[in-house]
Amino acid sequence: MPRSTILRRSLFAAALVLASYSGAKSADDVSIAFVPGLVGESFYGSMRCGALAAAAELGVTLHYSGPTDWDIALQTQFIESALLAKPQGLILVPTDGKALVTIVEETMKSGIPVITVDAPLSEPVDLHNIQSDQYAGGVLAGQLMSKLVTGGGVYLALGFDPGMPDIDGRVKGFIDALTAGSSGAEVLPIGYPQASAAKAAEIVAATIQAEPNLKGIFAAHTTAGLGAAAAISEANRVGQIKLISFDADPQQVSDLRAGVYDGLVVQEPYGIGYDAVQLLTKVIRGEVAASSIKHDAQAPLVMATAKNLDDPEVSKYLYNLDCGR
Amino acid sequence: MKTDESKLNRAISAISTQLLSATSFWMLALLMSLIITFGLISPNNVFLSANNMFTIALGVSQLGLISVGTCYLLGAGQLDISIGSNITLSSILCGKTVVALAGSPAEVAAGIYPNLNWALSAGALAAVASGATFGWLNGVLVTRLRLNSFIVTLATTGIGLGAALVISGGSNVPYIPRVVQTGFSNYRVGGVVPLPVLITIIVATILWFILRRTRYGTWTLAIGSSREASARAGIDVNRHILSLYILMGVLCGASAILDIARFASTNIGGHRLDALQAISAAVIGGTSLFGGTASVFGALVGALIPAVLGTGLVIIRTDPFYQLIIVGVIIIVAVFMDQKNRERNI
Repeated sequence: MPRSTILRRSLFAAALVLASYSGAKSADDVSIAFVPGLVGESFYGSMRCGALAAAAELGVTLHYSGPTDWDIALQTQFIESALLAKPQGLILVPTDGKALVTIVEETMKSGIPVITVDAPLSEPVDLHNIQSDQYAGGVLAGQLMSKLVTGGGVYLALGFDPGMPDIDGRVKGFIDALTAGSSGAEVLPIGYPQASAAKAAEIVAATIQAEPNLKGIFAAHTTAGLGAAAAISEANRVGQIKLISFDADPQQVSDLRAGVYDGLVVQEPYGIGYDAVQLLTKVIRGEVAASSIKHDAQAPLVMATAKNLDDPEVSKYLYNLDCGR
Repeated sequence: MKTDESKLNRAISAISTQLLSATSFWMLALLMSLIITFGLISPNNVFLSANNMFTIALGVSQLGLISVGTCYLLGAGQLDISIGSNITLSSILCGKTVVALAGSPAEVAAGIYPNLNWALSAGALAAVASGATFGWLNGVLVTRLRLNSFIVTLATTGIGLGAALVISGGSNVPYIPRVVQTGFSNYRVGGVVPLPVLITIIVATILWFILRRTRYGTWTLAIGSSREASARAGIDVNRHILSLYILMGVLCGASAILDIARFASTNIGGHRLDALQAISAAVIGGTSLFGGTASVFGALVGALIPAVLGTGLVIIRTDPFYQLIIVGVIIIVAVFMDQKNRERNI
């Protein structure tokens, strides 16, 4: 017998033993597996906290485990081992919308409902999908920028790489909202610094040199925000050139207070994790019929500024990592 | 009289032959013509302003340090592709040290740093110590286990990045004091030269001197030309190569300090291409991939060319993707020139 089969059988046996134990506790004890796209990052850390909070409230057992890199090959191993333990439901952050269609379809057919969060599958074979409306987040940034600066000017948006639907959506939302109506705003070619803060700083520093009328910058992800903040500070233009960035890790929030950023578009990973566990539990317990669930749900986004940061309606969105390891 | 003249002519032609065959000379000419072209076509010649020049130099100061280190290693026939992981790990350790020592967790989260100076010194020390240890490990594996340097540093790239992710939990170190940016990275000596640029120039000058004028430099290139001949000539080759890896590591630590100072943050995902950028800078500047030839000055020129292109294309509002194509072509030209030179010397 190959070793892997022995391992699988013993895992299966262990799972059976565990299942009989938990079955003894309550007839309707629910166990849910949650496989994130990557662990150890503040966005998913906050999502995990939300999921754990819902699980504790509803008396559900949650198994949360995922890869250390955004990598479909690594994630597949985590999905397979999560399914070996026979959960009654699966929550999944699809790292590859196409490649995961088959495994999700099969899992659904075997009677385990699957909810995908944060990113979509290329075909809606899952029960339900929750993600942030990236375009709407960009629109929030564009609207704030129009409010902060009046009377035209030149603007720069920083993406990641061309062809990434979520980040491109943020940039498009920003540009659409900024140039709506007769604002007279002129938008420069989009910068693509990838994950390099140094490249983002190079692009922004060059733009500052060339465009005396540069009024504002939109950074569609954290690293671009870091680079833009450094270049603006090096040119001694903090406060004059408005800077709005996506995401809100603790450093960015303290920089928002200090005036380095004028606004942060905050997604709600905590709420996404909470809602996914809550809905899936209801489906498993038969409180909600699977057929009555709309496939797509959009998680809200909020614009944090130095002024509204302490408002509980905003601060509840800030990435919450304080729920233990 | 006549003999003097012919001597002079011969000397001039000797110098010009040497100059014209040097890759770094042509790359300097290319750099200058790029700067002049962008200066002429940029609006109000803004590209040529001293401010723009020093901003470009500031952007290149980190790459400059590791390019010079790479030029030493390549000169000795060694390759280090773990540079980016070393910088990431060193900057995480530096950031963690600063945040842990600057004040209590509550104070630091509120932006209050009672022990700032002590914490910053300890942080800088942590970065250099971590960089040197990483380099030492590479050197030990290459010399004691006699493993190929490409494979060793490919492996330590993963080990270093993994360690950085484990220590940091995968997210950037929060609450690094912003004064490192405003008081150090943005500080301009005499109101003109950014401090990181001055540091890079001083380090590069010292390393230029060592390579050109000292026994250490001669040995480095001798080992790159022929390891066996160097060993027969009495050079402790292993010890020398180990010291080169430690030098590279120290430069990575210094680069990590400049990185934290510039962005007031660690940058976990941002250094994966650092090694390739440093190798292309060294090669563009005339350092041979096969050892035996190295140019510190050329490595700095090679680091500046992509930055000048990147900045210039943004200033004239042209698609920045051309930068990738042009730099690729320049690398091929530089390697071709190196090959011609080596064929001529054989």
